[in-house]
Amino acid sequence: MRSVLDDSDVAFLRELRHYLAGLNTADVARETRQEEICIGPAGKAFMRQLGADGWLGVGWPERFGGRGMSAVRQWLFLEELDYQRLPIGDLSMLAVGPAIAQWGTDEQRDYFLPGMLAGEIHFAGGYTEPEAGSDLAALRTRAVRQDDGGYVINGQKIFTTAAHYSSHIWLAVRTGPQEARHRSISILIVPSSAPGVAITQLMTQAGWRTNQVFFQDVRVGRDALVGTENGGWEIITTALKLERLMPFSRLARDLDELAAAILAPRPGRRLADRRHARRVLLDLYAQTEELRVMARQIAGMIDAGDVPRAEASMFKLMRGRVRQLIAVAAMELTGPVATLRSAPDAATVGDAGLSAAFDADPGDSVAWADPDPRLCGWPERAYRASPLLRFAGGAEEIQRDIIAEHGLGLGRSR
Amino acid sequence: MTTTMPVSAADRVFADSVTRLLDRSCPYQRIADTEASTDGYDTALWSKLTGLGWTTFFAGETGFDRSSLPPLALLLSELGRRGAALPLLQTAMATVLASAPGLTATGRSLLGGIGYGEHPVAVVGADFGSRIHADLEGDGVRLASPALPATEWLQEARTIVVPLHVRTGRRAAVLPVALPAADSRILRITPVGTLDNERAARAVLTEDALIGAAEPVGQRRWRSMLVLACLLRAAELTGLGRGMLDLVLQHVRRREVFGRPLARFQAVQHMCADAATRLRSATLLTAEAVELASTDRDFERTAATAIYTTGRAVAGLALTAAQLHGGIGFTAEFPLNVYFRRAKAQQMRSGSLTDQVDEIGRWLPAAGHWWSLHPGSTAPPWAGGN
Repeated sequence: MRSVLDDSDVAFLRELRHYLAGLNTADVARETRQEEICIGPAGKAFMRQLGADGWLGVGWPERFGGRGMSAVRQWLFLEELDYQRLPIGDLSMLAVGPAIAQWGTDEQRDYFLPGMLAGEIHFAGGYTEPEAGSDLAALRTRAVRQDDGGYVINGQKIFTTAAHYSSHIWLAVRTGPQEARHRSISILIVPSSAPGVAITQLMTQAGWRTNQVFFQDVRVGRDALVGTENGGWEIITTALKLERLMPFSRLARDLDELAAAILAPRPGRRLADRRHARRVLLDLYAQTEELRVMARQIAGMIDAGDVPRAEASMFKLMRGRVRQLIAVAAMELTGPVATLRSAPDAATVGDAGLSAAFDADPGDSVAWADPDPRLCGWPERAYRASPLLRFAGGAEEIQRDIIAEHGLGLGRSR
Repeated sequence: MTTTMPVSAADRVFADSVTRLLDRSCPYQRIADTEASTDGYDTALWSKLTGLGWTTFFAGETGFDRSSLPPLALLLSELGRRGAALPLLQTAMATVLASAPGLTATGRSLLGGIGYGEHPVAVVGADFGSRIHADLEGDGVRLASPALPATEWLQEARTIVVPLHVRTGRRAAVLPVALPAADSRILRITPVGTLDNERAARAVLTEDALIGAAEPVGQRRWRSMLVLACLLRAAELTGLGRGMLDLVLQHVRRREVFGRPLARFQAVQHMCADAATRLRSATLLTAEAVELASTDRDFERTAATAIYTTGRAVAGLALTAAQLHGGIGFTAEFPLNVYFRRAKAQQMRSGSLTDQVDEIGRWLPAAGHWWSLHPGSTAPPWAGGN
């Protein structure tokens, strides 16, 4: 399998860059840098613009308003947006849209897909529960079918990121006996504003908001069901497959900027320190290159009709770790100044007002002894955010299980 | 799952022949006997490879033929997989490093000789840290020290390539020269043991000899050739890693403890998963560097990264493999010990880890703008176009 991009893919990348250069993306990039897991107002406007210009849903089938592009180009699209610190689309665009296109009824497709492309419908993913994280098949939120074919939902979800600004929740529920595990799970589309849905804020140490969502006697019609009753597991795993094309370029950009800041000559920094720092950074560069070739191969495999399973887990495993290593290196190479926040009077972790501390531009502070604004506030923020990719979307222990079972044929260890 | 060198459609037939031949002629069970043999390598296998033209196809009269890189990398990787030590890697690396425009007459005849099957050939100082200094004197050069660094298969080689670091005016340059290894009037060769199953020797120039010199190669071009040569070693290492991973998987499936196979313990599975992940990404990087170099694109930064990454992945895998095998892996009878030794030795032959990581830095800008979605382009794509 080839690894080097062919000329037409490079031309596509150039076209995309040209298009993005014509938009004013500074605000949205700043917003995305501060808040990684939710899409803010500037991000939403940006997504609407992409939709209007026909750039959203690049991987969706053309008959549903997408561009039907190859996996390699979808990957390049995601990487370029990620590199420019622009929102790559949320769960809606990456997983729910294609899942509705594949499993939804005609009515669901006609209603949701155009709404999503127009940036009017946003989904929040309702999979994880307090007692069902990486072991998703243990979920307990129950939906009981009524005489009219609709459902009544009771239960609780957690880490329902984006729920507070979503229009709908893509909800995994139990519709049969608990013991049947993955064979009694269904997918329902629930309006976030439905009576009985209560969304409460859950702040993270990174300063980002996620949510808990409580469902008390929430009623939905029969048209809320996606696919068949108890057939939800297949939809979930299909949607997870679509998430295998994940970008990592933001890490490479972070590393690039970290290197530029750390390696810049300045008074008082010894040559030996810079040499040491350069080697630490070069080692991380090599690891981002490992990520690049792995991501590229995954896209190539999808285009060739293969299902990258262990390969996707390998990428995910490494991406989480490399991200954390970059953040840790940022702290360790910077020293005491790395402990300072970008706003000197920032609130403490856990305070509901924490997000406000990140409204400040990392570059606008002069309170540091360090002359390089790139190092003011970024290392500590990156460090606080660094555990995310090691557990989100399936903890790295699960990824190793998948690699061992499906990639190396060692059988199940659980 | 790709933890072996990817094979293009064009090389498929070749790949199949290599696998068939090596499965028959080079089983890993034989590597311990071969190591203990007089020659130190499988001379029968070497003759077979030579008869098939597989030890010469990369050498043209004007130098190393880059379009032959994918099949050569594949062949080296498959030899690596079986833990085999042969003078092929040295011969191929010497060919790369003798492919200079200002090559001496001896060098040109050397390349022609390889093309006609005259080998083995060895090269000294083919790593990122070595510098063999020499001074230009009239029509020749004089080495700063008569002792050359030890290298593999020197005693078996007909010719050795010696890259001499010289100064022309204020510029540093490299002058690769070819010496007749068998001529005891010029070289005194003494064998020396190694960590692994490679045979090595030291060479000392017998007299304060002046070597005939031609036009030196500029530093940057020289480093590029050196990276390409070491990429061949990385290709072999990817195969060595694959061979070790196969041994590990075989062992953990077969060996039972506490009533179940080792393979069913999550701790064991996770060690295997981590090792396989690093091996896969390193193999993909090496394959990409081979693809770039064989199609005449900028390959150096990817190749230097691949060399560092592959060495670390495979040397790390060796530690994991030894740990998972326990006592049996530690015995001299079981083949793992050859892989364990060879992984570290081959990693170190490209230079200390410091030199290897610095080599990556040599091909990147001083600070920042390191990374590109599109390797092989002359500039990072975001630098222009936008």
